[in-house]
Amino acid sequence: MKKLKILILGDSFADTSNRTYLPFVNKSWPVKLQKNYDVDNFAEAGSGLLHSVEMINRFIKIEDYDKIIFCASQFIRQRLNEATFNQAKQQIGYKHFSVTFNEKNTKYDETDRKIQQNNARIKYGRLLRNFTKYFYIDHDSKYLNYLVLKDIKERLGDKLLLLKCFDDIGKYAKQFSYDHIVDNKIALWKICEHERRIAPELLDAFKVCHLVSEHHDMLYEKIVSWIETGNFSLTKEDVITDLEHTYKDTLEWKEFIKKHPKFS
Amino acid sequence: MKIAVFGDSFADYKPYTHLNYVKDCWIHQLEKNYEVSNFAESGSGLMFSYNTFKNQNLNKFDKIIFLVSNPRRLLINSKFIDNNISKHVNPYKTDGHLNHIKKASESYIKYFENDDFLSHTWNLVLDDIRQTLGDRLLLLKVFSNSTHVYLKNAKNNFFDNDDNTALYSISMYEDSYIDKNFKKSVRKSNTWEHFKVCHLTGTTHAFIYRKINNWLQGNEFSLEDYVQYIQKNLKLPLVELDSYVN
Repeated sequence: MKKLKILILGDSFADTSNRTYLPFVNKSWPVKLQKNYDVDNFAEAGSGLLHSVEMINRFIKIEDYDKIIFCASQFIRQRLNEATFNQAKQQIGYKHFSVTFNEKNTKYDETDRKIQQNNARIKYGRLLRNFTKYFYIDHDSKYLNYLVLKDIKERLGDKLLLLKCFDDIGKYAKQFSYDHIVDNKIALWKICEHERRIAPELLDAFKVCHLVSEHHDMLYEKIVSWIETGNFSLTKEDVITDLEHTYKDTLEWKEFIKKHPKFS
Repeated sequence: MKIAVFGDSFADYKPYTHLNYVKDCWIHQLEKNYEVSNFAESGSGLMFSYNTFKNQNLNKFDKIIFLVSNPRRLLINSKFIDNNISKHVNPYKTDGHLNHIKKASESYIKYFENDDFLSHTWNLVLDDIRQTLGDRLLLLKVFSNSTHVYLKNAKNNFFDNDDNTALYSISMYEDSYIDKNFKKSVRKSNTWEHFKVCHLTGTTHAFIYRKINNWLQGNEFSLEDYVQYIQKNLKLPLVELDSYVN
């Protein structure tokens, strides 16, 4: 029987390509899906909503897919335009940039530590930070974020599983809440935060898509169930709360301890 | 009838209040006959107007006139606004802004702006305005598509005017017509520019007002015959122009 064709879009919550050095990458939900389905995963770590939207607008024939899993990242994440990136690919390495807007003290911080890795990234990171400092209008991006997600939902209909990676925050979050558009009540980032509270020493570098294998198992089951039945739910009750008792049995922890024995 | 107006300098006569001709402006004429809330700001872009639009109780208005300006024009964050200069920046064009502010906008466009995504959001914003208001809306393009070369995939079917009748195209036609037909001193000095309000002469304002008034009365809207109208009716305040030149 022909396998269902699945398309995955999004950011680091769905991109496993930068974690292939980890033995438990095969336990991540995007890789596990490949066993039973014909999966194309175009998620890119660090990318924003723009990147995924552009993939379906320009490069991917969405009608070729039976189901689409769209992990909606932040609107504010930016990407170097094609001309700039193609010209300086070698120096920049990585086209996505992230700038976080802190509404309370109007500070703009680069959260992407990779920006500091080389001079080219420092240069473009600084230009982007300057732009957001003088021009980034929070409510404008909230309006556009909402319109973009609503449009995706309308265009893709039942084919789509729309997962929010982050909760929206700030003054305009309520007015332009997209909670009724997305299919998960708890943002993927919140699950990651929960893990970080329990095991802060277990760094993201030892996880795939920011999550330990137990959460990948949980997500995988839910996504398969959605593919087969059309039903999906992901709430805070689904977060594995007793992880503090079990995380030391996880593959991620064992790998981490191998590299950092002082934590054992 | 209550009317709201959103847009840029084509609807904002505040910078021209020192001119007698301000009374000829279409929006001024509209205010004489209707209850008008004018939210237009000279130099502003689409997102400024859209943001203002989203923050209004639109149920208060019977009709809404929305002039769609350049989506690239940017609003400076309130923290950095200097009351002596415009808070709106048109990258590569606006003068008067501090260099670092201009440079920040230009660098963003050069290195990060994505034409396809800009077109995509432009389509979504205009579609949202259209869907929200239905036939209460008169949606006018200020610039023709050829002005927005970066809007590669922008749709054109939202508007009540087309590229030929974009307000800026009409203004440009006026300029060329004046160039060809009015006396040399006026042409050479370009002083007639100082006697235009919202980039248009009183003659064209009368034309636009008549068309908008017609639409408000429930009739079809079209600016198509502006060329014939200008050719037949355009008058410049030549006496004032002479005294201005001299």
